[in-house]
Amino acid sequence: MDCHNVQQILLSDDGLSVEGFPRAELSNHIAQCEDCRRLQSDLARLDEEWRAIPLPASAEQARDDFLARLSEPTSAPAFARRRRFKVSRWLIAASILVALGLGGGLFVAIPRAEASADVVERLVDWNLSLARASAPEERNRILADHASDLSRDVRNASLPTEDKDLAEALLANAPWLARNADPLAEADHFNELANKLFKRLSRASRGGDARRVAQSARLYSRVVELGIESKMDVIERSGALDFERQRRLERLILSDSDRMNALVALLERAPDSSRKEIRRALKITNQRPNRAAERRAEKKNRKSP
Amino acid sequence: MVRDDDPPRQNLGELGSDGFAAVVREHWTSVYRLVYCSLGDAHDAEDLAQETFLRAWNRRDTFQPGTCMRVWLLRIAANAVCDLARRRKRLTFITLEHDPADEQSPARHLELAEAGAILRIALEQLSEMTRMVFHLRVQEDLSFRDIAELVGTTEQGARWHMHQARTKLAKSLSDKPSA
Ligand SMILES: [Zn+2]
Repeated sequence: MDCHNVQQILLSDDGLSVEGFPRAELSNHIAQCEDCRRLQSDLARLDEEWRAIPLPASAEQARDDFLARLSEPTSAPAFARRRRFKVSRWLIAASILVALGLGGGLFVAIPRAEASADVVERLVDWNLSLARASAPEERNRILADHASDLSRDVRNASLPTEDKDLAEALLANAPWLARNADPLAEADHFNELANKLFKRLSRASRGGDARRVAQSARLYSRVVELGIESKMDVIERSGALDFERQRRLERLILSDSDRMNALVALLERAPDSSRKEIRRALKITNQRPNRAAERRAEKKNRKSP
Repeated sequence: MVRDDDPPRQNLGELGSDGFAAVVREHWTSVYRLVYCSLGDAHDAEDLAQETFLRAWNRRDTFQPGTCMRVWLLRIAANAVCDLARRRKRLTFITLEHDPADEQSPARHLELAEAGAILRIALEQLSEMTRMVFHLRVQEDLSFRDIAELVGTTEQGARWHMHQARTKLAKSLSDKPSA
């Protein structure tokens, strides 16, 4: 057994559990060889230093905060929240990048040239308004004000099959949204809608339809922000959740995060020509206030007297 | 789970929130430390430690009685670390820039300065996977079989990561003038 062998064993393991090397032979070599002995003691010191890495002072505080929230009825959504905001900050940044990188801007109005695309956009906004109005009378008014116009426009527009299905689903859901007052059910509804819009976005991106990409990205981020996230805020404030509802909430968070991953993957395939735009867009989003940090600060302020 | 010295536990699915609080108290440091030593960031450690216990709570009915709670929790934490690292890498790859808010804040520098040379070197020179393997071996004293299963590699792969970690860390630390 030579130094090289011994040192390889020491580096890849602790030298005691490697089969095929009698322990006695290993120990004899180390006892007689200064180089290998020095390596062994260096490695032991390395391990000790690693074990002694001090944890940030906030580690214990974080545990205590978590335990405190565990005993509150709202524990689960409160735990989930921090993570969700971190994810959604990336998600929103990514949606903005898609919009800016592939044509059109999220905050720039797009000319309403095409009636078919326009009717989808109006239907999405209508669904969102219904869900955002809190009083039942207001919901009924919003429903009544637009139902017949929108139904007529859907009938008359020559929509591609994908948009026709989407439009009909949005029309059919409106009376349900007007009646329903359960934020979790609403968040589920908008989660499904976000999935559909994401598919529309992917297909448009594959087909190189920049205008449709921009519109889908815009609708998508609006639905995520106003239809899903704001409902989750309401759920969090509303108090106790039973086990089944907790699971539904976690499924929503996971599906939010899955779509974010898929969106990032979509960006990877964006044409070279949009990279510069994308980088510029990220700078813009970086300068926007960091929502996760804001929420963190908000939470701390609320806690301190 | 050859090296597990944790006693077998009762069915996690039957624990109420008091019982679960005891689990959190017992294993918080292990989980937090794994995330912190893998990513080197206190905020990430806080978020992912919470996420780990939240996931554990929501999946408590999938916990097999008789398996080691600590290893089960560390596996959830390792997955959370990998997910986060993957997302960040992809976004960095796309944008070719780091988010300065995430990477270079004075607070983070201060934090790492306090953590000591070894963590700084590990963060500079080792991949997350290599840091995790080294950590699970040195700090948690897990077998390579458990480590391999936990981080999603082979036993041979885990040993290779260990070798990488020790080689690079030992070299960097011996190159450094002792302060
Ligand atoms: Zn030797």
